[in-house]
Amino acid sequence: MLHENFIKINDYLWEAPKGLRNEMGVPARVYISEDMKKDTEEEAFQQLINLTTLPGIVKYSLAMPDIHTGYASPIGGVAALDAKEGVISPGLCGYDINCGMRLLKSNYTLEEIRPQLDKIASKIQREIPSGLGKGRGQSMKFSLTDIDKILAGGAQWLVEQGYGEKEDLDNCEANGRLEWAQVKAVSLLAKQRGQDQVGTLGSGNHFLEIQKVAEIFDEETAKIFGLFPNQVVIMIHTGSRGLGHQVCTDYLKLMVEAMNRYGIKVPDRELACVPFTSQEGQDYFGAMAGAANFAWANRQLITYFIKKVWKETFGQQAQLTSLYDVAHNIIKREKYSIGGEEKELLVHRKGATRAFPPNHLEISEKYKLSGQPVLIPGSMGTSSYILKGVATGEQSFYSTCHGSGRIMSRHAAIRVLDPYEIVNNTRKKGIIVKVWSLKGLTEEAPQAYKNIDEVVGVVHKAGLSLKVAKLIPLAVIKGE
Amino acid sequence: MPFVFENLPQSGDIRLRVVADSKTELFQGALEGMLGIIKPEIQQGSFKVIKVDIQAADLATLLVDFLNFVLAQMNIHLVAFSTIYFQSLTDQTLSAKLKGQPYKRLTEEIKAVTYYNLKVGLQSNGKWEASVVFDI
Repeated sequence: MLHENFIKINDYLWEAPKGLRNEMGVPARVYISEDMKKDTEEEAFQQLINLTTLPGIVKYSLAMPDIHTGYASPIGGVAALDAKEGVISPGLCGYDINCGMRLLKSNYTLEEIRPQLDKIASKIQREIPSGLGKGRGQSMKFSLTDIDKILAGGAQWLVEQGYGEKEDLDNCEANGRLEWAQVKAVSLLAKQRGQDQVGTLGSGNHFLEIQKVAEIFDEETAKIFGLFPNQVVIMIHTGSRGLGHQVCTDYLKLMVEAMNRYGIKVPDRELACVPFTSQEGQDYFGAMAGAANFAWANRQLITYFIKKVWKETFGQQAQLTSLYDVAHNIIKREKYSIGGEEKELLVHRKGATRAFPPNHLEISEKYKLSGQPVLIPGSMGTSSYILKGVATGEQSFYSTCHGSGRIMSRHAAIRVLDPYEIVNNTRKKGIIVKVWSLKGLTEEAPQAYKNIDEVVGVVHKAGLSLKVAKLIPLAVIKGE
Repeated sequence: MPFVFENLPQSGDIRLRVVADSKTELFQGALEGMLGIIKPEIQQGSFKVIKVDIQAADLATLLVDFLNFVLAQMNIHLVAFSTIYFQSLTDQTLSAKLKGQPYKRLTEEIKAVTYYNLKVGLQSNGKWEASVVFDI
């Protein structure tokens, strides 16, 4: 069994040595407990080891405790590639570019809004299209010219058009815009797919949740984050929809063909890559940034519609402010000290969340003392967490987990789980469920995922990020 | 053109296996298999025809690129393209027209057709076989 070749470094960190496979350029590391390691699929470990073969990989390939099999990289995978000598790989960012989380804080406690909870959940469900292949239709179909502006300007452009406030951008990774986006590097097909998908949730594991702050672990940081006990918050989980999928598809095809020209061989075609400094590499990086901007715009427009519903329900004085917005599928240029020398690395995070520590140059003034807020969703009906970035997270290129991690296929969940029982169990906990289809609900049942408390426990104890608060769901609004 | 679906453990995704008597039937079968995953709810409306021209390094890549192209077109036009009228099909090129009807909604959303464990080829029994994984 492959997982047995991972040697224990400490209770939460295991390493497959460089010599395990001839082509490994560096060791492979996984942050996980012994029990969770035994339950992880062999293929996920295989994919983690595959990452070590990438030209220019620095130190080690990494996986977070929510590791499970993906394409090219396991979900929960992190790889840092030398920006001068290394490659860039679309598969290591994934099809849902800048899939990520945003958390909105209200100034209400649960008791204050409980009578209106069902009504507001229904209104949000109606306002945000969440179905399969569903867009906003003709009512909000952006022209191709405007899509270009979104690709270049991200959430910033939408705020300039009146769909949000400056504060939304201040509390967003990269202020909602990667300035190196190249509009021309995004295909017409991708742009067309995105035209009616700004402000839409999509299907699968994407969701909106009304939650409450159930437990605070770090009062000082919670105060900086503006969190208080029993506070009602809203969590948004979605990404770049069809536009991002198309960017990944386009560049995988291009790189599968281009790899030979650069003499690059990879163990899995989904891991196709080219030198970062090559024209193809630069084009993908620019297109990926455009798709990331699109995703931030998507979450921004969703925020706009949620705020609209909130004010319609509770009055104009009712506030929703953004705590933070952070990607968990993205590639970023970041600087690290490697062997005493500062190097620019291309950090690929696929199902891993950036978690910058206090005083990091790339986080806003507001969070300079506390560290960056980290948003980790649980599976449907279970807890979610707010954590903070810490200096000891440098060991993982300031990356932490992104969620629970799937352990059961969608099909298996549909086969073995009873949707009515899931709804009943969720409702017994007092959680309102708003879904358009029972199938979608069953696929995302908590039994299909690892225990979020254990996953977050590992990253906390390993020092990748620290727990600030625990959130529990009040109302779940899901795609199909 | 029989096709079967296999659900991949833990990833939540779907592998489609198609067996056919010819290359053209293999592509048609793969298209029908993909429609079998997303199950579009067809609504009344006029048929739409579009042109498709694809080049790829080999037959396996050609099939994935073709399916990804159709997926994107279905997404943009809200049309379930179900029939292929081949003009030419080699191991590296495909030229055809696609015909389909408008759909109201899909039952499943496919993010992408992947290269993961992709297998396409002529078997020793003379049948063409493809195994393609869809990221759901």
